[in-house]
Amino acid sequence: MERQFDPMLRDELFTERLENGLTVAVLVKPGYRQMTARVAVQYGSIDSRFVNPQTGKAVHVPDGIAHFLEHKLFESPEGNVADRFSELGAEANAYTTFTHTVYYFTTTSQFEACLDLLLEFVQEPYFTAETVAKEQGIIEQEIRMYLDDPGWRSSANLLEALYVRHPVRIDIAGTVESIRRIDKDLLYVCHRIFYHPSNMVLFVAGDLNPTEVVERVRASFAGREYPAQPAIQRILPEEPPVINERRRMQELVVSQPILRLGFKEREVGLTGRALLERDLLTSLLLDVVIGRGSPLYTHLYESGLIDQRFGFEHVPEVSFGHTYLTGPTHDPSELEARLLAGFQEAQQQGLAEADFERARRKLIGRVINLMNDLEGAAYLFIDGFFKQIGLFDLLPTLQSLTVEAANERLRSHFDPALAAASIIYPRR
Amino acid sequence: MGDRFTRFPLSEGVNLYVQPTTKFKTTTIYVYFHMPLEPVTVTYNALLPMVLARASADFPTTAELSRHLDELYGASFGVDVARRGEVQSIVFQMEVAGEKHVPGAQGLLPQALDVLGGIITRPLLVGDGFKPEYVDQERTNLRQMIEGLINDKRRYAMVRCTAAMCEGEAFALHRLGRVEDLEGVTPASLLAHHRRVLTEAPVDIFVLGDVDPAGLREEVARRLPLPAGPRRFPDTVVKRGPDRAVKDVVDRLDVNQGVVVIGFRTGITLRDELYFPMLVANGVLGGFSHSKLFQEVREKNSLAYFAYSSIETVKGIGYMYAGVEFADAERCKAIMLEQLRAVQEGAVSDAEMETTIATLVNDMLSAADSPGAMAELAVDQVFSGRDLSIDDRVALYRRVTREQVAEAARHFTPDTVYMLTRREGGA
Repeated sequence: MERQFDPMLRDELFTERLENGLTVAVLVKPGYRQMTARVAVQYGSIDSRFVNPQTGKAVHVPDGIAHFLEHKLFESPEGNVADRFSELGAEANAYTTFTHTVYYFTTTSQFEACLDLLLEFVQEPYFTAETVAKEQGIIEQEIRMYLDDPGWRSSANLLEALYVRHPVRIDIAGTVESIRRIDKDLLYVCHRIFYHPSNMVLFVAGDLNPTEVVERVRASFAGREYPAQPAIQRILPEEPPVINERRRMQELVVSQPILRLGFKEREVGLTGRALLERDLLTSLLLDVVIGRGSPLYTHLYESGLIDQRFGFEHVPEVSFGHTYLTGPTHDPSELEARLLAGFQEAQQQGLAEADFERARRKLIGRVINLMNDLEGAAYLFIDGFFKQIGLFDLLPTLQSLTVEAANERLRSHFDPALAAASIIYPRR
Repeated sequence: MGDRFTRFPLSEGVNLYVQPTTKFKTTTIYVYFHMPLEPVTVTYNALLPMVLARASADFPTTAELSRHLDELYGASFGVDVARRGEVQSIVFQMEVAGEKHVPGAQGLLPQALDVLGGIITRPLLVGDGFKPEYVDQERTNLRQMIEGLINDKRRYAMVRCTAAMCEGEAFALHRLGRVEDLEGVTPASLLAHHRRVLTEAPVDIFVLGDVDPAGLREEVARRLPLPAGPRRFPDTVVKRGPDRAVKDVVDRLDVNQGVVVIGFRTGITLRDELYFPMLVANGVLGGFSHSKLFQEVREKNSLAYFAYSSIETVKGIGYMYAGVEFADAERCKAIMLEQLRAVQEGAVSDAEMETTIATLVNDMLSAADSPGAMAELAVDQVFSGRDLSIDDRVALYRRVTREQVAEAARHFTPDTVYMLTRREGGA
């Protein structure tokens, strides 16, 4: 077992890779009453085209199948698995992102029974035609709920505007039509391929003994045969370094227009330290240019173009990436123009050393804050894992960054030619 | 460790609660000012913290204030306004990294307390009021926040149901106040209101972190000086049942999915004997994914993605709600009421009882890991006047019987049935 210690966070992380390829990580949190375990599978909504490692043939499955599988895995011959967690006093849930699926529970008692159950249910699919049909009805309502959610719609529309072919432009849940094409056989095929231990990681956090946890996991996998499987070949279309369209608009029942302005990454494919550096540099420079302490923010806020709901984020994935800035505004065109001009001006002037240092301090505080709770720590760990970024890489990398590198990133990423806007207008 | 706050009375109606702990990497401070929820002040109470948060005499622009907090390793500061029963609480929150995690940093907590104290007690003044530009801007922001409630259809439906159900009662007022009041607020009238809040509101201050209580008590008294005043804790009017027939309310919007909300009077508050049975009854009915509503509406009938119940235990009301296809609304309502009837008749299995109690106990124990949840529990304590530790509460959950659950559920009296539906001829 490998032990890592972060001297600033004063946290200890133990990791071990089992013989079947599964990585187990245990974050020891003395004094915490909660304990959590999360299985993350590198299988998200963008993975609907891949080569079946068993047949060697390329497959194209319906959109939304990873998310559908996430819902369906909770079904067992004895009923809903979530109920069994409830009986143990634990709360279990799951979510699907563009790139991975996560199953988790949080509990304050009976950790071992919960862990056994978690490992068992993700490995033992049980689907029938009847339960698949029932789930189609539920997911259809989930899709419809999001159709009325302006934040979700503005995000989906921006992705469609930014990307030409990359499947990130397709909703994680798929469409009412695509989920109708999902059946139990397809679900079994996808499960067998993607839910292989070598394509998964288990993250555990709490006041726990890491050796005991790893032994428990090992025991749970004993007796289960997993034929060795090469890394899954995912088929992604070639994404050109241009945007799909400059602007996407939609009308919804909202009180005010909502602008979401995005900048698409020109080059993708980074992993590990390089990707982490890019992400942290982008976060730092965003804070300097448009954070609450910046002149640009003050100007936009005081002229009434943005309010406290304004926010921004860099999205650093391996096969795609972008930055977005979003908020309700009475004049989306004016806000968009001012933001573009603000970034252009920042590119010309460059970032001041003092502002950069201030942003760095703030980000250090944010990481410390996130590591305060198990949820935050789990998020940081899992989000980094499939990108080959370690939990304790964050602070040292953050300390090593320079203002020169941030200025370079500022000049290359915020290219108006790679910017697109999504606007939600109030329906009359 | 104890997971418990120790109370230090600072002055009449002003209490400091401290929980020293090395578990967290940060120190968290919450300051609550409790005001009565009333038509004349509801908007003032919502607007005041937004204006105060913009600047202080020490940091006269928002950017300076924000940059100073960044220098304190991103100390996070926020304001909010909450409603519990007919009490509107103005909340200030500050969280700062523990010094042992940031080598070289010194005096982070006193500096953070200074900023907080300055915002609350030493506002930026221009002439005889707050800075007019800041008042103007926040007035606009608050209007947009109130109008923006419609963006989240599920929450909007709850707000509309409550307003209809409690028409004529203070509880019908939204915590953010009323758009029509904003016009009349001036920099001077808002400052006068600030004075009123500082002298009239009972104040509860909660601090969790690696702190020494005696030293902290001194720091807080010095850096957050509050004037003496008459501080009376506001009351809430609790109704046992509606004094009229069940009200039907329909809103029509261009939406893709309908929302059904059934509002109930329970009359059960956190001061009642039936409080813990009520929490369990809500859990059995619709608090969780193993509960009857989720199981019947979603899992068995595939009608909805979400179907839950919730209760408010200061005013004593409850809700059941679900997002459904427009055509399924009546069927969904019928299934929901059927589930309530089942709980009222005691049709609750051993598994439902055990699972619900186990889940509630887990939630309670989990609170010990979250500064925010600990502060919320402590505020409940202030409202109930009962000093219960987490372990006391766990024991009370475990003592609840099926008969008590049925009895508590019988207090759910339907008051208002609300439906958010599609506009005729619309989407």
